[in-house]
Amino acid sequence: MNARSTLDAGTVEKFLTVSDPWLSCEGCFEHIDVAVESLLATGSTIDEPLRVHLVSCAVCHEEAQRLAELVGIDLGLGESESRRRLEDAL
Amino acid sequence: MDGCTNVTRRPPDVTMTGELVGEDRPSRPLRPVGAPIPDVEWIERLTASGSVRVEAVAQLHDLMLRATRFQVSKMPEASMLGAARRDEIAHSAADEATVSALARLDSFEGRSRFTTWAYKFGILRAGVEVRRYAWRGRDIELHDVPEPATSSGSSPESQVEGNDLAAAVRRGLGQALTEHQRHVAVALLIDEIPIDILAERMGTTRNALYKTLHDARKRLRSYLESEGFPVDTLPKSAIR
Repeated sequence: MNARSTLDAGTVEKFLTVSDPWLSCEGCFEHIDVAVESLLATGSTIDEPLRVHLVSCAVCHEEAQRLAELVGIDLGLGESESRRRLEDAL
Repeated sequence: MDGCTNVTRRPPDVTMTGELVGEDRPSRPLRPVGAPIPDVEWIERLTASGSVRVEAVAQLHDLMLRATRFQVSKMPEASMLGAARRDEIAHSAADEATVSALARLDSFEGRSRFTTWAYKFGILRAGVEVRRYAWRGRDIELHDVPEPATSSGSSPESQVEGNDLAAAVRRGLGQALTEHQRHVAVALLIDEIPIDILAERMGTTRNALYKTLHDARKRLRSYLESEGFPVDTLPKSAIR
């Protein structure tokens, strides 16, 4: 049995999250390396379908955070700074 | 066979970032310590044959292991597992990620660095493995719609608005969504079952469940609009 919660404000917001323009989890995986590296290396923005997907899909969002942290280490930015830049871009 | 098979080789010296410190292929000069492997060289060597490829695959596996260990170390679900189990998961995920990446090598277009492209396979596989392990033996029940909570808005007006919206969302879940959409949305957004675990238990895919959730959210917003809620002023985004 899973822990249950009620329909509080935070949960209502999750239900009402706009997930258009559409991008699948597979599409997200396809583009995430280029998007994260470009964001961290050049400060470029994240394309809208990918941005929306990362906001709408908890697991893809978590994987993107991890990728940003790892790439951030390679780029000399550090984990927390890289994670912050990703969150700001979302 | 490549032309290097008869050359006496020493084991490759690879750093944790997958950097080849010194390689004795006669066709290439030694790379300075700490210098990364150029992307083109990764591809050349991974698509070569014989010992060159074997060595490159081992280096790719090291790269994957870096990503999987990193992901495992960050996941709260993994914290309850012992160190040996976490390392076992990291290795198993690195094996799978290496196979996946090799199978999709032709999709690498050089638009990111090769290491960044490879990391995503390791992170994905490690996440799946840890969640699978964490949810092993746990029953998943598909629930119906929960009761709205009493809003704790800052003013009486916002409390009433919050309560009205929550009540309307509850009605919408019951009236505007199919049973399948409702079960998937509740499982993902209220019970917070990870999407890959739910997909596995329901015999479907992560993509298919995300599409179901996408459709459910659209239907719910349309329902609220038809009920007179100004959807443009409703929240547009929330993580999860």
